[in-house]
Amino acid sequence: MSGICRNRLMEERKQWRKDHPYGFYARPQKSTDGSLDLMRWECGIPGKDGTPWDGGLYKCMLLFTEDYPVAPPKCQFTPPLFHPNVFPSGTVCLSILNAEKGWKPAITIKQILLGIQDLLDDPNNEDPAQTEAFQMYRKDIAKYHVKIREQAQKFANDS
Amino acid sequence: MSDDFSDEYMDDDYEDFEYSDDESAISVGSSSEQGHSSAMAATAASQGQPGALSQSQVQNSADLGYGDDDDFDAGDDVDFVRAIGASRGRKSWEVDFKVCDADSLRAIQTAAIDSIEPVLSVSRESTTLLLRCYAWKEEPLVEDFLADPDRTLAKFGLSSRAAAPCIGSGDNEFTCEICYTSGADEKYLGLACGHRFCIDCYLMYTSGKIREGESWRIRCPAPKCKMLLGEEAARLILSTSKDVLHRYEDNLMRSFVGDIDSLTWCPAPNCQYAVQCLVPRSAMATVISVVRCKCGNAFCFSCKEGDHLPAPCSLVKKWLQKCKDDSETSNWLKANTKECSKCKSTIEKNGGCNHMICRECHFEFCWVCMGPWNEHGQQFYNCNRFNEDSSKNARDALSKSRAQLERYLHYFTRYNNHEQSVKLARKLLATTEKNMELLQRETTLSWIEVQFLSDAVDVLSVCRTTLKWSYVLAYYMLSDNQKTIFENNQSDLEMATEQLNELVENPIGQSSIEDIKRKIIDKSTYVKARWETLLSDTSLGLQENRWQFED
Repeated sequence: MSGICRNRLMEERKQWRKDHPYGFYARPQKSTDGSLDLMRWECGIPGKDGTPWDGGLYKCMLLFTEDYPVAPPKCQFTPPLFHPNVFPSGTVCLSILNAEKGWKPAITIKQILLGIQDLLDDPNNEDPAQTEAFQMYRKDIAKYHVKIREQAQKFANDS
Repeated sequence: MSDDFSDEYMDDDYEDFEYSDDESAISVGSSSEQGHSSAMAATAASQGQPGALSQSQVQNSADLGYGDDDDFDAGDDVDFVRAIGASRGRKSWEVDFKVCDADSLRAIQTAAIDSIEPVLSVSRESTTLLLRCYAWKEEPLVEDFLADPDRTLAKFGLSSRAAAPCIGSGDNEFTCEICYTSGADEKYLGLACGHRFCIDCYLMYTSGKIREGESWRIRCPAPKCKMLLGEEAARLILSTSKDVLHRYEDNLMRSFVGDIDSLTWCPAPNCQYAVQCLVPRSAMATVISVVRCKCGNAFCFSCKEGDHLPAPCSLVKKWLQKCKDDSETSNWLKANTKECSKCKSTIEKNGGCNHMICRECHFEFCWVCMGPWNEHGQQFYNCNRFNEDSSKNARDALSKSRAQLERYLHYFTRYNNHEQSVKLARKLLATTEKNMELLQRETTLSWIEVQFLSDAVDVLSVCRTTLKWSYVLAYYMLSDNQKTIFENNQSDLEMATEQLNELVENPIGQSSIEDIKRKIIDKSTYVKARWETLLSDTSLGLQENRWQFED
């Protein structure tokens, strides 16, 4: 792991432990030998109050590469989410996570997770990533909301 | 060669053809065993009667008033090749253009910035960035800027109170938000937006963007900050990495040339030059803008293919596509095979009687009328259903597609033949150079006096390229009287080119060197004349909409 990538991720961890938004979690994954793998973070994003996403806690992985922070991490929902901008593999399509679009090296993990929370109830029609959710969102918004509420219950925040 | 020559030649179209008939009459007379028509120019190549032909030619050239001794000067041939695309006494098929190196490109940029700087009265750096944001289009920039200067600047992440970026250090409060190093020892850089990052992170960030091909579009690394990283800041950051700085400057220039309609890079590998051509895009449909870069590469400004005179870009594109995809395979299938009327298997009949049994579905049918065999009753080997309508229609469609295929192959063979010959010309040049050395050793001729040989080879390659594309033009051209005139010009050029080729390939024979030299120079001059006739005729014809093309 290159110096700058490691230092930055350790600092991110420190900052997150010092202060993070309510209901979120983010921590480096434990390797099989018990050490921390700073390149893979397990995160949870709560749905916003007053939206059909409310009540759910959506789990995702942040996958960093050696090029971080020049290159953005990849964010993948596990299991994949029903959402117009989430690929069937679970990968999130968001401008700030795209090196050619909005990614800046100074964007923090906190900003990424808050950005994804915003995206949940405010899909971007320009970048559809899965057919099913995109079609339903455009053609039958009521049915879409029912489906989202079902999903929120499935991923209910038990903690 | 004088410019009025080609015009005169054009006006004398009729005389032109008389002349070519004369010539073929002579060649037929001297090799009567070969069937020869002036339309089938390709066969002229095989007629090895150079002596008789060039003799007649000198005489005929004199008749047409261009056979002055002065014209048969080796120096003229050099001019001919150079003049293709040069602006000196522009011919009707030539376009004005200028080859630009890095310095002249910078000069164009500087001129654009100079002209607009007093209007905007912001820093030179901001002026340059604004011009880049507006793709160097001054009018919309001035319009937007005068309406609302601050908004225009802010829209592109600029600010009127932009302080020059500088590298600082010695601030105990400073923490780089990328790598989280902090302290007074850290060198940092901040843009006008006030976001500061350490110089190492800046270097890593900008180098990454530059490697991806970015230049002036790089923004401040802070989240959501739109501030553009100008050239000054980039130079500060990259002062220690000359390679990346060089790449950055390259990218800037690339983006500039890409933004400007009248500029394009020469497509030759590793060529550093750009070409400026002021033919408006709207005129490109009828004007074929072939330009010649300083590196020697001749290409079409509009479509970047090689020199494809006299065929317009649209036909070139269609033709190359046609040759590339295997649509002709299906044409062949149509011409040579039929489908089983039951299971639709493709069947080629290569012998036997008309009683067909499909290998796939064992359906029995008649090859002649395609109907079921059992309807044929007792007349097994003589189909009497031949004249029924359905049979007739099927056969008509078959012969039509066969004719189409043959037509395509006719043009393709000739196109391909010239393409191969252009490639062979390179080999010919090597042999020619050997011959030139030989000539210098065996005769009293000096180096400059044997240049006529390589000049003749140059003429050959140029004419072969033109001939190659002339077949593409002819393929799409609908038949009418105008096409006949074009084809006559084409056949004259082709015949003359083949004769010159033959002369150049075997220059040393029994006859004296002076004789050979005179023949080659005479023939080159004649070929040039035919080449100019063909090109001026086609370029005018395209502009006048003289021909109809198939869709």
